[in-house]
This record gives sequence, C-alpha cells and structure tokens, in this order.
Amino acid sequence: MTVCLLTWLPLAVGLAGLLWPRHWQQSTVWTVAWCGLCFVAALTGVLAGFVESTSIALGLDDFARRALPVAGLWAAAFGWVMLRGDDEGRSAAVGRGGAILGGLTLAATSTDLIGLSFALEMVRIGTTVSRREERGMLDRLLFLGLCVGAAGCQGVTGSLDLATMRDVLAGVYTPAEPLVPVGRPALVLVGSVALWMIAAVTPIGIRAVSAVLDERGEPLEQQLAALTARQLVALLALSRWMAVGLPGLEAAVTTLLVMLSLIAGGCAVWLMDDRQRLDRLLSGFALWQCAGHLLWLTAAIKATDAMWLPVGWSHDLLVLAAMAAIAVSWVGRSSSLAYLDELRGLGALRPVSAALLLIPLVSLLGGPLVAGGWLRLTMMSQIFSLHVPGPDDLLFPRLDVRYALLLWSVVWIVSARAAVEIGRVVLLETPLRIDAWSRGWWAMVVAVLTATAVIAAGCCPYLLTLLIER
Amino acid sequence: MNALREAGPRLVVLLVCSPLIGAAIVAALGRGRPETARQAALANSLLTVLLSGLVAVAFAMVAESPSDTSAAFSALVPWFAVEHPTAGDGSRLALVCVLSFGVDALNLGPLTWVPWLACGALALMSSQEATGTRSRASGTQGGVSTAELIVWLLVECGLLAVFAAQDAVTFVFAGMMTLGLIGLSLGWWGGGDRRATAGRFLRGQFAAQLLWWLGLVGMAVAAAWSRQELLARIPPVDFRWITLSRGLPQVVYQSMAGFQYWSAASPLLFAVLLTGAALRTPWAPFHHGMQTWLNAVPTTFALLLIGAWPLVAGYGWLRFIAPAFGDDLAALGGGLTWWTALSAILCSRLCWTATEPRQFATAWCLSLQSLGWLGLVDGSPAGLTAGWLMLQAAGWSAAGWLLLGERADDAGPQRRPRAAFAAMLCLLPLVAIPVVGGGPESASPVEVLLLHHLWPTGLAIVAWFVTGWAAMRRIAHLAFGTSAKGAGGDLTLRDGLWLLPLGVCLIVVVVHPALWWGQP
Repeated sequence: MTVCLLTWLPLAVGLAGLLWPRHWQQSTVWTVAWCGLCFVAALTGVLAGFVESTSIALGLDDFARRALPVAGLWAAAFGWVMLRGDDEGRSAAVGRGGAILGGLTLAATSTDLIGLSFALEMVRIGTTVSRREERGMLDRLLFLGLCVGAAGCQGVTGSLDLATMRDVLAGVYTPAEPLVPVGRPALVLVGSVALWMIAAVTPIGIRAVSAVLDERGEPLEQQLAALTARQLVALLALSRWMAVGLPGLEAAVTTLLVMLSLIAGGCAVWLMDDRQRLDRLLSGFALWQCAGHLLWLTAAIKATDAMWLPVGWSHDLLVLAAMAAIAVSWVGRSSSLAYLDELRGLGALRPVSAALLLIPLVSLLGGPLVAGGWLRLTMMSQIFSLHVPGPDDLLFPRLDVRYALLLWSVVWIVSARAAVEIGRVVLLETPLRIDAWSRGWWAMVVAVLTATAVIAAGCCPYLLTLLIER
Repeated sequence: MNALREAGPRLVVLLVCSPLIGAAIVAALGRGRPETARQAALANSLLTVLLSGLVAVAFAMVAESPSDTSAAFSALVPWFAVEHPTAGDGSRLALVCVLSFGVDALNLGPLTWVPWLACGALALMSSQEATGTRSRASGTQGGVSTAELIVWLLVECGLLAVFAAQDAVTFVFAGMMTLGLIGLSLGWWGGGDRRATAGRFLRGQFAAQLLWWLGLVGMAVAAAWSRQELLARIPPVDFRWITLSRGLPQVVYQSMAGFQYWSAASPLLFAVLLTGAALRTPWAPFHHGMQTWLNAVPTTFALLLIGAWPLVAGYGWLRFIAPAFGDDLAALGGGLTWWTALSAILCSRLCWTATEPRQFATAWCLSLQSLGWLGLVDGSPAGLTAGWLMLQAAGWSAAGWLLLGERADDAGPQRRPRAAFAAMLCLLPLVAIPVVGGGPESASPVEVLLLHHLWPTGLAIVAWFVTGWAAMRRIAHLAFGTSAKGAGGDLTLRDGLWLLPLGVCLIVVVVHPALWWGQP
C-alpha cells in the first residue's frame, strides 16, 4: 500500500483528536493546530503539485501531483467549518476533519484498491455524525461492497495494484471486440468493478438524502463539507482507476459511470424541487456538479493528462464553500441556516456580501466572464468528443453519453431555476431582519479569494490555460 | 473614404463598447447628480447612433450588394485556447475561442436599429412625460436613477454584442449578460408583482440560453470531428459562425466519417436548439410569458424588450442553425410550420382581445414574430429572407405601437389623428413584408410558402388577417375615438363565426390561384 507522508500527518492528528480526553479537546489549541494543519497540507500539496523536485522527493506520481492540491484545497475551503464546530464540540469536528483530510490524501496518493477502499471508508467515517446516521446500515454495508469488489478484482487479475491489474488485463483479457468482453473471468471482473464503483459513489447520495430527510439535520455548512468530501474522495478514487486504465472494459465502465451520473442528477433534481430550503439547494448543486464530473470522467478514461478534472473539482469546491460561508456568516455564529428566506434583503443591507454570494453562484452555473463558463465549455466539448470505434474504423459519437449530457443539461436548467430563486430572494426581496453579521474571518477570506479568482480567470482565461499547462 | 473602410473593424468594436464606456462615465459622474448622469447617458447614446451610422457606411463601401453576406469586417481577439487529449485514439483536441465582433448583411439591420431604439427610449426616459408612463408601469414616482441609466446602457451594450458576435461563445456569453441585466431591471424597477415576474423571465430565458449553448458546443465539436478524415488530424474546435454554419454543411458531405457522425448527432442537437428557440422567441404555448414580462417592465426597458430581444432568437437561428440543419428542417418543416402557424393564430387572438395598449403591442409583436418564423422554419432562401425582415419589422413596429399606446393616453384629442397616422406606419410590415424577399426572377415568399406548406400558410394568412383587423380597429379608435368595444373586448362567438368563412374564402381566393400560378 502506497501512502505518503502527507497522508499520515492528518491521520495522526485526526486520530489523536478523536482519542484525546474530552476536557482537553475543548482547548482552543486544537483549533489553532487544525488551522495550521490545513494550511500546511494545502501549501504542501500545492508545492508538491508544482515543484518537480519536491514531488520526486515525496515519491508522488503525476496523478498525485494533480490530486493533492485539490485535497489541500478542500481543507482550506472548508477549514472554517471545522473551526465553527457543532453540538458535539469543536474537537470532534477537528477529529473528523483529520480523518477526512487523511482519506483524501490517501485517495490522491494510493495506487491500489486497498488504499482507495480505505480512503473511501475513512472519509465516510469522518463525514458521519454518529448520533444521526448510526442506523444507516446501508452506508456501512457499502464498505463490504468495496471489499468484495476489490476481492473480485484480485481474484481475476491476481493483484490489487492498479498498474499490475492493467498489465494483466492488457496481456490476457483484452478481447478482440472491445465492446464485448468475453469469458467468465472478464464478467467477474466487470461485476467487481461495478460493485466497487457503486459502493464508492453511493454514499454521496446517501449523505445528501439522509441529511435532508432529517428536518433539523446538521448545519448547512457541515452538511456541505461532508457531501463535498465524499464526492471528492469518490472522484479521486475513480479517476485514479480511470487514469491507470482498464483495457477492454472501457465501454462497460463508461456505461456504469453514465448510470451513476444519471442517479446523481436525479437526486439533484429531487433535492432542488423544494426551492425554499437552502441546504437542499446547495446539496442539489453539489450533486449536480458531481453528476457532471462523473460524465466528465467518461471522457478522461484514456486520457493521460486529464488536468481539467482537478481544476473543475477545485472550482466547484471553492464556489460551494464560498456560498456556504457567506450564507452562514449572514445568519451568525449561534444559529443554523436552513431556509432561503433567511437571506432576504442581503443585497440591500450587505451588497458586498451579496456579490460574494452571487459571483460563485454564477460561476457554478457557467455564466459569462467567470471561470465556470470556461470550465463548462471545456467539459461539454470533451464529453461531446467521447466516441467509440465503429465498424470500418469510422467514429461514432457515444449515444449514451450524449443523452446523459442532455439529461445533465436538464438538471442544469433546474439548477438555474434554483439559482434564479436565490438571486431573486437576495437581490429583489425586502429585508425582514436586521443585520446579524458575524465574524467569520476565514470564511470571508475564502469567499473573497474565490470571487477574485473566479472573475480573474473568467475575464482572462489565459490564467486557466497557464494553470493547466503548468 | 479609404480610412473609413479600413477603420471598419475598429468601428464595430467601438460601437459595441460605446455604451459600456457610457456606463462607466455615468457611474463616475452621476453619483448624487442624476441630471448630469442623464445628460451623459443621452450624449453617449447619440454617439452610439452616430457610430452605428458610420459602421453602416463603412459596410456599404465594402459590400458589393446589400445582401452580400460574404462581405464583412470583423475584429478577432484570441480569448481562450487549450489543448486536451481525447478519449479516442490519444490524439489531442484543441479548443479555440475568439472574442469577435463584426458586421455583415445579416446583422447590419439590428446593429443600426438597436442604437436608434435605445436612444429613443433614453430620450423618453429623460422626458417629463415619461415620468408619467414610467410611474404607471412601475408604480413608483420620481425621475430616473443613475443605477437605472447604468443598467440601461449595459443592456444596450449586451444587445449590440449579441448581434455583432461572430462566434458562438461571444454570442452566448453576451446573451447571458443581457439576460441577467434585463431580469434585474425587471425585478428592481418593474411594476406590480415584478419580483415573481423577473424570476419567471430569467428562468425561461436562461433555460433557452443553456439549451442553445449546449447545442452550439455540440455543433462545434461535430464540425471538428467531421473534418478529421479530410485533414488526417483533429482540427481545433472552432466556434466561429463561418465554421458552424458554412463549414459544417459542406464538410459532412465530403467525408463518410463526417456524414455518419453528423447523422448521429444532428437530431439531438436540432431538438435542443429548436426548444431553445421556441422558449426564447417565445412560441406558443410559451407566449403568455412575454405578456407578463412586458406588463411588469418599465416602458423604456419594454421598448428594448419588445423591439430587440425577440430578434435574438431569429438572428441566432439564421446565423448558426438554419444553414447547418437543412436536412432536419426539410424533414420537420411541415410540423414546424404548423406549430408557428398555430402560434400565429393564438397570438392574433391575443391581439384581438387586447384592451390595454401594452397588451396590444405585445400581442402584435408575438403575432408578427410567429408569421416571420413561418418563413424561418421553411428554410428556403426566400423564406429566410422574408422571415428575417419580418422579425425586424415586427420589432420596430411593436416598439412603435408600445410608444404610441403609452403616449396616446396622455395626448389630447387634437393630437389623436397624428397618433393614428403614426400607427398606420406600424401596419407597414404587415402589408409589405410578405411580398418582400422575392427577386424579379424568383418567387415571392408567400408563393414559396404556399407551395411548400399549403395549409399552415393558409392558417397563417387567417392569423395575418385577424391581426391586421385588430390593428385597424385600434387605429380607428385613435383617430375617431370609437368605443372601447371597437378597440378591444373579448372575441365573441359571432366574431369567430364571422372569421371562419372569411378564412376559408381567403384560402380559396388567395391560396389556390397562387398555387396554380406557382406550377411550373
């Protein structure tokens, strides 16, 4: 199992946070330590991604160099959530945060199925609030699915290491017709891969649904942090697998990803059906983004330099965190935000805050002159470019992917409706409440930096190109 | 003169940026000084009109004929270029976007018409009388704020950018910005129920915009993949209109791979783009939305919304869609003409039953738009020409109706005949446009439409007649002060029974001889 130093550090801190005596956990020392850890992880991840010598010293491959900055970015973007804590105290949040960050870095650096499964499970544990989800047996059973899937892959290929699996598949099991993998071992392998993937992705939906079904669920920011963490680790694990490649199974895996994307899109529509609940809306946005990224993954199956995916993830993480930060900061430190009406009149009372909320929202929707517009454009063009070899070496566009893209666009329109509702409430409605601004300096930093970066990259997309090429 | 010709591309960019500069100046000067802001905005608007005239003159010097779409000058600025691997054979697919503005025969009309409309509306906004009409619309008292002027100028800039765009990305991005600004103006300065109306407007139009974006991106990618076989490599994905609407139809018939790729992709893309056009125009059954928006928006913004915004759909259709989807149009032309003809009938009924001036202007616009779309979905050169002229004429005549309707109520009896005479001018498109577009040796659009789609065109002629009759009643009301029943009222059963044989007579008297004459 390949685990780099970056993984062990947050793991150790998270474990210590969970096991430490409770009265010690109340100390603000932990808060400061957590903040420092997040920044160190983010900084190191970025450095590891950009400095070749550092990456060599850490033993990171290309994928890890691209993925680690995203994991660090999650920590930086949602670190303020851990800072706020919840009912159980800040220390528990710090412990869970350590588990999440450890899982993310493990998923970014691991190259075998054990490491990836362990990473998924760590993030699942870190994002589970035991009081509310301890009865979620399905959520726990999914770890069994991961193990069975990994065991099936190991049984067919004789290895859990992804590169070895690829070599075995390329040498032995590649059928003449790539669309029809023949032979019993290949079928077992397809089933195992499907099981593993479903077990990896399903917790995303479970997380969102379980949080929403509970009317007085977790606070909005914690809900969003948990959801995005689960999404990110699943996407990292799947992309790692896609980057290594599955010779002969591309068509099956693509179809599987498309189905998962459709499920995520359906969950997003269901969540955004109630446009009065802000937590549902933001969770719906996150699920819609996840559906898009799953589709995007289909286009990057054989790609050796799929740098756009981490950029897309980073963008979505940042904008979701910024929106949640502004919304939560508006309500204040003591209460939680659930209903959209609580944001009424934000534009009249706090125009800057309204701008900081709406700029990421526009970018999330792919509006003009913001980074999201270029990312959606790139994503759509890449997905449209996905094709399968046809008879006589002619190229056909992938039918299922095209229709999935169409359905994703329908969810896009639903998201746009929700965004218009948010914009209407924030900008046009009359304020009902007096100013209740709280001091969320970290959240504000995240929001300001996000808005600045999004506009800069939107007006001058050459910056995005530079980032990709670098 | 040579200098003017050479300065053409720069003039276009300046024309698009002029309202933006004006907005910046108004923002800088107008804080706390609304009178100064108003004067600055008006001066900038006049300057934009002057620039549009210069652009038209420069284009006339370049073009060999007024309909010469190959003659154009445009300014291209590289905006976004990236290269990424594809999932197929490991080759790399490049993505190239340019920020491009230009003028050709297709967009010369809107580019000269929009500044005039904007200038007129701004003058109305600045006048004392406008305060009354604005107050009726928005329910607010007082003059125009600096913020309203800034948003107004930005909307004008966005509309000019939409029409001047020479590539799909600029077209879509400028459309989105304009859409957001119109929605905000509707929500901030509109009349009763303005917030909900703004939400409905943004939701519907944004959905149309997203669908068009998806379809245009799909077209660009399909064009790149279709050229792969010819060029032995994947060319960059290019969003310029010349690649999409001229290159794509040619290339798909030059290579087997391109043909098969396009055959598989075009039905989905056409469905997406058609839905976007129907939402944006809007066609029936979405046509009630436009009445709601225009009822809530301030008069000045309503002028732009009714005069220029519906043109965007037709312009995008002509620029990007109709040339590339000729086969799909030929296959679905019958159904689409039925759809537009029914839409025209429904809108003409709205025209008949409208009681308020603004309602009538909206219904007039919708009805003429539907008649214009009948030509656009036919796809023949005569139909496309006549349809585009009809759409433009519908814009300016509806804006004229709106302005007249709003001001005629304030005018005294002695000014009513003049208003009636001005209203007569608004009837011109209804009378003249159906026969415009056919050359001396080619058939008129009506003949072409009758040959291609007999019954839908007959239905449209009935709608044309009802709309014209409703307009005549309104003119009579303006001129002679007839009763309100004469200017509106519900369409009774007797009216309907009276219209039915009239429509049949029209079809028998007009359609059959035309069909007979059109036989080779």
